Amino acid sequence: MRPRRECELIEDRLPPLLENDLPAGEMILVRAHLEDCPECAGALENLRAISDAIVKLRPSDGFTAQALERAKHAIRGPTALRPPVPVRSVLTVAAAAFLCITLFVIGPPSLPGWTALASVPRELLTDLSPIAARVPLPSLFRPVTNPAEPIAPEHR
Amino acid sequence: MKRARGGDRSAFERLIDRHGPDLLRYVTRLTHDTESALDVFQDSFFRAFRSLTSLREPGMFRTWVASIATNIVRKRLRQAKNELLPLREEPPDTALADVSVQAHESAGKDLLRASIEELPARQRAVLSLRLEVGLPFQKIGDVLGISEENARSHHYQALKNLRRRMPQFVERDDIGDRT
Repeated sequence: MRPRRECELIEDRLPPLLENDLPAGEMILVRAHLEDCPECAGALENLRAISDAIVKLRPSDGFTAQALERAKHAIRGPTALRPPVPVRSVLTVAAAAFLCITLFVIGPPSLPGWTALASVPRELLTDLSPIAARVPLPSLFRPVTNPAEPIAPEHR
Repeated sequence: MKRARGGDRSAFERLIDRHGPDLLRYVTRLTHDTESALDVFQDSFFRAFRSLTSLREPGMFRTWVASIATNIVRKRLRQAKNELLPLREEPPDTALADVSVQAHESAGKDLLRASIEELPARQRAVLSLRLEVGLPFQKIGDVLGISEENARSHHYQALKNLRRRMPQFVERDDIGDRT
């Protein structure tokens, strides 16, 4: 007759055994014990029966049908909001539009016109905005009299 | 899934048909009565439909909706000032208990259902996600906000508790879907 303590240890390992979740060494020991112990083998069958029965347990067909119909009605009904807006697509389009507008205004970096805005006379900027006249322009916007002249940082 | 993400309602309805029955089983384990179960189930899929584009991995749909359902129940319980997923104290609702007026309904099935209801809430949730929804332990952990190891531990303890209540339970031919 097997010591009770050994069977208690084996019984603890039966649920993970059902899931094939025991380390290889323990699996061998447990299976060897089960071959010699009808009580523990019966316990494993009991657990397996319970587990299998739960897998098959379901609410009534009528209840399930009612639930599915309610869920479908919720997405169809007038109170359902419009289909989901793909937010990422909207942001992508917005970002692309912003980039296009920016490049259109400033011009691509590789062209001499990149300094186009920099070469705009300050007086013109002043005309465009009274506020601009009072804001010191960064070097990028410093008027260029000679396009060949490098734009040096402003000395303040 | 692709058409559903594009807003195609009929495609989403097919997702409901495919995943709904198993998710309904999970929702019934979390809730206290038929109407709550129907409410949570409906609300879960409604929210899933509205935010489907935020689901990055279409293969995670079932896990994702189970998470939504769990969060809805948690929020409702917080609002009702109950503890998180408390043990259900009242007897199971007859609709959820599969209406045992049928002559061939087995006593074993009733005992099984009652025994599951007696489990602590967390064990009941893990057991349902594993055996009724069919999620692996890692995803169960994601749904419930616990570690994978913790999920395994709860599942094994739930099985041991059920065995303690039903040490003579054997599988019978009449356990299963009603026709």
